[in-house]
Amino acid sequence: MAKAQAQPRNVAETEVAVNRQLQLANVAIEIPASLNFLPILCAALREYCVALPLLLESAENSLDTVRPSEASAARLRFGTGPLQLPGSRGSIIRVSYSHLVYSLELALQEAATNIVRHGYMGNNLAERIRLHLSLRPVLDVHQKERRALIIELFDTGMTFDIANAPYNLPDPDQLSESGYGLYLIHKLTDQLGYFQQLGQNCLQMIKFL
Amino acid sequence: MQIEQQEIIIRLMHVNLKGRLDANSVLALKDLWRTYDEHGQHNILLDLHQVDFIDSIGISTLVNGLKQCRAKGGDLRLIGLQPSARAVFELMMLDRVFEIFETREEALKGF
Repeated sequence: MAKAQAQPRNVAETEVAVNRQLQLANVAIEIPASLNFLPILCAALREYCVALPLLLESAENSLDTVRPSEASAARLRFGTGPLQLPGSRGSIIRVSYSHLVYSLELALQEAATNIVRHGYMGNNLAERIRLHLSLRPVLDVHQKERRALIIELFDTGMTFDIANAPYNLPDPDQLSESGYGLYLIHKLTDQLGYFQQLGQNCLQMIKFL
Repeated sequence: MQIEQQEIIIRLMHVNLKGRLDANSVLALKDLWRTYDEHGQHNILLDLHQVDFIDSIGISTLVNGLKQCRAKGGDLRLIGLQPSARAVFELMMLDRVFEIFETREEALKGF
C-alpha cells in the first residue's frame, strides 16, 4: 500500500472517495410484509456482516489517513471466535463477531416483526418492507463523528408512536409474554431514529463500529 | 423449525427443537404446549442446542410453556442454550426465571 506517499486530498476529493465506497457498501432488499419473509431480511444482514470487515477496511483506505499495516494484518478471521475489525485512527476493535451479528439480527427481526404485526396489522402480501444497509459516519450524542452500520427499515403501514413507546423491560417475575421487542431493539443498538420520508415510515437503527 | 419429542421417563418429555424459534415458527410450539396440557404432560426438558436463533416471540412462547407447566406443579427446563441466545435471556432477565442447564443429565436431577 502506498498510503504513506499519497498526496493530501482536499475535502471534496475525500468526500468523493468516501461516497464511492458508500455506494459499494449500500445494500437494499425488499420483501412482502409477512413474517414468512423475515428470514430473508435476516440472511441479507448476516451476509452484509460477513463482508463488513472488508468493507470497513476498504472505506478506511479511501480516506486520506495514514494507515499502518494493521489494515492488511486485519484480514479477518471469520467464524465464531474473536474478530478484529480495522478501527478508526489505527486502533483495532475486538468484538465477538458472532455475538455482534446475532444482536443485530435480533434487533432487525424485532423491528420487522413489529412492522408486520402493528404497522400492517398482520401478514399482508400486497404490502412491502424494505431493508437498507449502509456504512457511514454518524454523529453520536456527544457530537463526535463515528463510523456506523446503519440498518433502516421502510414501510407504508401505520405510523409508530415512538415517543410514547414502551422501552422498559417487563418485570421478569410477572412472566410477561409480550412487550420485549422495543426493549431489545433499544438495548441491542446504539441509536434509534424514526421519521417519515416520501410517504414512508423509516426506522433507523445505528450500531457504532 | 423442526420439533422432535420423546417421553424419556413417565410424564417427562424431552423436546428437541431445530432451526429458528421466531414469530413465524412459534405456532407449532404453541400447539405442542396445548397437546401436552390436554394429556397431562407438565414436565418438559427443552433442548435448544440446535436452535440457531430465538426472537422475543420465541422466548415468550417458552415463558408461556413454563407458566403452563408450573401451574400444574411441573417445570420446563432448558438445555443446550447457545451463548448468543443465552445472552438474550440474560438481557431479558429471564435466566433467573428459567432453570437452564448445560446437559440433559444435570437437568434431570430433581425433576
